[in-house]
Amino acid sequence: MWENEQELRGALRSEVDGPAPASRTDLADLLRRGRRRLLARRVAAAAGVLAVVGVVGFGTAALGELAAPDHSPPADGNSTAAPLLTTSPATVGPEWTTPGLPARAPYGTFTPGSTAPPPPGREVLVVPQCDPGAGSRFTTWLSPRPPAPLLDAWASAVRQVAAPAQVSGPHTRTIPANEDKHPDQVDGHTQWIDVTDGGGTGSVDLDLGRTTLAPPAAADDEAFAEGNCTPPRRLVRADGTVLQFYPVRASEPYQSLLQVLRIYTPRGDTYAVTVRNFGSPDFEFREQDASFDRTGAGRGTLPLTEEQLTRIGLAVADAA
Amino acid sequence: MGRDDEFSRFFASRFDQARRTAHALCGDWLEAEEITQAAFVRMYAAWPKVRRESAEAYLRTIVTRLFLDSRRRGRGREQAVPSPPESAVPADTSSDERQPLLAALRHVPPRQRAVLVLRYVHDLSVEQVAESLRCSTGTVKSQTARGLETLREAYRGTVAPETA
Repeated sequence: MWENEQELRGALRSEVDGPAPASRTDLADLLRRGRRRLLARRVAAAAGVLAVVGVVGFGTAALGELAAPDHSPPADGNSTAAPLLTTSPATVGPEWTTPGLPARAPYGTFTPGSTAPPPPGREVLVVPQCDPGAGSRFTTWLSPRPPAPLLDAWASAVRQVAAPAQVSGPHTRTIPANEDKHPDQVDGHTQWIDVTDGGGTGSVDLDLGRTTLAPPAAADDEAFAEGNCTPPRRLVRADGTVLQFYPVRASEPYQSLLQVLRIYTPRGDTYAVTVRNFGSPDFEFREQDASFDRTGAGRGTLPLTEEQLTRIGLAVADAA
Repeated sequence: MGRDDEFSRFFASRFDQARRTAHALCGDWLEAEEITQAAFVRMYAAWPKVRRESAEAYLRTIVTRLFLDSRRRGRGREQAVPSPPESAVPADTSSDERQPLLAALRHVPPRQRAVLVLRYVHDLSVEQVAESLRCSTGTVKSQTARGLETLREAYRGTVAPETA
């Protein structure tokens, strides 16, 4: 043990300067990323001006093209060009509102890591990134198994709205609780359904959590929990249930795309329905430690439109 | 000298040290590499405005803030149950038993850890750390004291010989 701060300083520096694996960073790649960031900042600045004058709306934002499935049959495995833009009548109708929360300033745009970049030929998207702050401060995602009727409603809705895409049955995995470390933990459950069309396989995931807040307060608290910069869109139903629809998010690895619809019920149950651009072919479950390994990049776009995700969310809300 | 040439020289002379700093902060070489890359990408975009005499300090500040941002985001999205998208194929790239002090450092909360790394690895003054982390000098002092206490306890646990 070090006796004084000088000894600590010496010991720490010695370890910091110790053996290290070889760097994988390529200067040329880094310069390319730097130039892209420069360009992205200019684009973001221009977009910000447009947003101020009300030209850019949530439903027709540039990211709309990410939720652009190609529902041609997956017969020959050759993907076809995805449509550029989808409209989202289900989430831009008058009953859907944007909470009066100011947009947040992005700290940057999504930048893929060098260890798991997008596949060759896939364009790196300019997706503004914002700090989610404290995230879900009043919601716990211990993920107990959702009630059977709700699971049925979710699976049925995915089947109906995704047609003619191929839809798998629900996949489930159980994550045993670590009661030694977390006495209040329960066995967790994760479930997803694969959706496959000519663009490849994506999936729809369902999570269950609990919040201590009333639906509108919980929705406010989590308005930016997905790292979104623009406020989500919101629907308040007659029974008090609140649905909150977030913009598309890009994350690592491989430029993963996700779009989330959260549902806050008056009973305190919170559901998150997430559409992802990857599915079962892109990850493996490791039984020995009950965890997932991500192995594939998935498809280029989300497999469902905003409208389809909204219809799934409404079905879940009906059953909740 | 052009922008890229000048930046490339800065990269060549500073990348390794920045990566080691990032590793001291996060404890994982893969993550350290990505934090350092992201820091250099940001520096590139701001390069014309960066004063050369303070470029190294600026880089250190970006690395530290990127690390703290990553921990804030991680906590915000923390879930008790892993979902399929959570991770790429993992590799055990964490510090090993040959670096007990760095291993103990990972038990120190992120912000206190950042204070310790800046103060004891980079030999910054309390005032310089406060400026880098955008906090008061009083906060730096208290975080240093608490961080050292946690580090000592964790280090004892790391190197304590097994007893019968």
